[in-house]
Amino acid sequence: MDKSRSFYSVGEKVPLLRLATEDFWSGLKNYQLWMFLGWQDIRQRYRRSVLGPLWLTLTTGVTIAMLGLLYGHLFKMPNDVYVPFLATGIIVWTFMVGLINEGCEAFMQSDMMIKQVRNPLSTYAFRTVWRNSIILAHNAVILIPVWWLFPKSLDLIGMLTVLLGLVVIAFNGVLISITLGALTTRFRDIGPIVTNIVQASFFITPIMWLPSLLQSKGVGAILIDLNPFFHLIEIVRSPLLGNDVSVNSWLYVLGISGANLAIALFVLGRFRYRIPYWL
Amino acid sequence: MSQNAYIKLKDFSIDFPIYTAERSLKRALMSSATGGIFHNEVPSRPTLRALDSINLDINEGDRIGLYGHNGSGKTTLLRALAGAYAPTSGSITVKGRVASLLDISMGMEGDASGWENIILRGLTMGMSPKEIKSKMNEIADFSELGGFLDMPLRTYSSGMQVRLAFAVSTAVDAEIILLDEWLSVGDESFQEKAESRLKEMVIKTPIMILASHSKNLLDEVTTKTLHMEHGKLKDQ
Repeated sequence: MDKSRSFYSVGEKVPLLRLATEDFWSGLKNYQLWMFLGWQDIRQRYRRSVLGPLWLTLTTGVTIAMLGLLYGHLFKMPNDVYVPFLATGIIVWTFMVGLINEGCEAFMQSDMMIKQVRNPLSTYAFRTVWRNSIILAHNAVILIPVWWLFPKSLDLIGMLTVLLGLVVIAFNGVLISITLGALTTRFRDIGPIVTNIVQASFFITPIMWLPSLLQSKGVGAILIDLNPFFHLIEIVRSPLLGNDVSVNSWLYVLGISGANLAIALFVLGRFRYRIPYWL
Repeated sequence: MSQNAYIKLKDFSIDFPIYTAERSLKRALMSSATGGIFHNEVPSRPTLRALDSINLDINEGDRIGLYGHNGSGKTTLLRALAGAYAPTSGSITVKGRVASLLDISMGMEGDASGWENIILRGLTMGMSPKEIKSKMNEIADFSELGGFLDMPLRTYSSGMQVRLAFAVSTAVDAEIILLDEWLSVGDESFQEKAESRLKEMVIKTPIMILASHSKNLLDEVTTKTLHMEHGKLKDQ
């Protein structure tokens, strides 16, 4: 049996980093709990509906079809360039938005459990990420008809790159859920602030419009080169469109992940025992 | 120390911070911008002392009763023993797997079926899926819910919901059980069954801690009763 289940001690000074990493690992090992809870969240949302989670697929499909037709026409872009670009961008974006917005609620959503039983706090961050991964899997189905209509060359390396990119985004999702989850629990205004920032980011990030539409200097440099969302999307979108991911994007993502990890571990170590009191 | 289960609390205190919108982000930002001088008239952080310097040594074989008024700190102490609330000062060490039977509704979902709720409740109580599967039939039998287990929980009467929660919660193998007052479950016949199940559980579990308002009950099942008042243990 898991040893951490049968021993618990608080009182001695424990280094922040150790406390944080222990919580993170035992949270990861608690996968049976967060996987079930994540599934349950989805099931709960679509209970008694005929299509169930297929509504996710359908909603995203309709959005992509509508935007694809309208904006493809507005931008005077050939469909075989614009639609796959838009579809992959929207799907990855939806994944990230879910991670960030629902990450804010990570601890508040599970307040009953947190206040009554002892689980690693990161368990609840993993739950949020798992739930959104399930949503991603449903949305990704859209890519099948898109690829059938507008074929792209996707080789094995490309597919592995996509997978790696998604794992990196999910990893960052766990970290951001810990950080934002803790902050929002303490300061309830953070959630709406984050939602607004994310909403604004959708328009300034190349998702509906191609980066080639902007000059690479001035505003373009800020919206593209310095935009973390752009690089996070690129590591999945580029290989899906049959292109290579630029080294620049990988480096940028590496930097984001590092900073994200450092902040999340600090927050977890510092506030692990405070968070239940904030609920 | 070779004991399988023990609990040690030393100078254990819990202060609950009290947050209202008054203590929001805006205030926090403003006070940092103005160096805090702006809010001098407000005490820096209002708190409520829920538990005050508790010293406790519980060993195998102990059956502890917690007795006290509403708000005397019984439930907070149980939650602290469950590991949910860490001490704001002092220390705690708990050895042994803990089953906390504090809130019957924890982990239960109205729209999920009885079967699903068995899994949900079991997982939140710390059981593994394998363990739950092996006990599934036993739990179902004990609950006496029969065909209702296929129905969503929201169709159950409150008594039936409690039965199901009770059946799952008491199926956990633990070294320490924490109970908060909910011994009266279901109708008369089920109550008898529940009582004998609890007694059985109490016998095979090394440590039991039970909070109650009923002195009679405590005298009946516990070896030692601790009086709580204003977050303190009396006559310690």
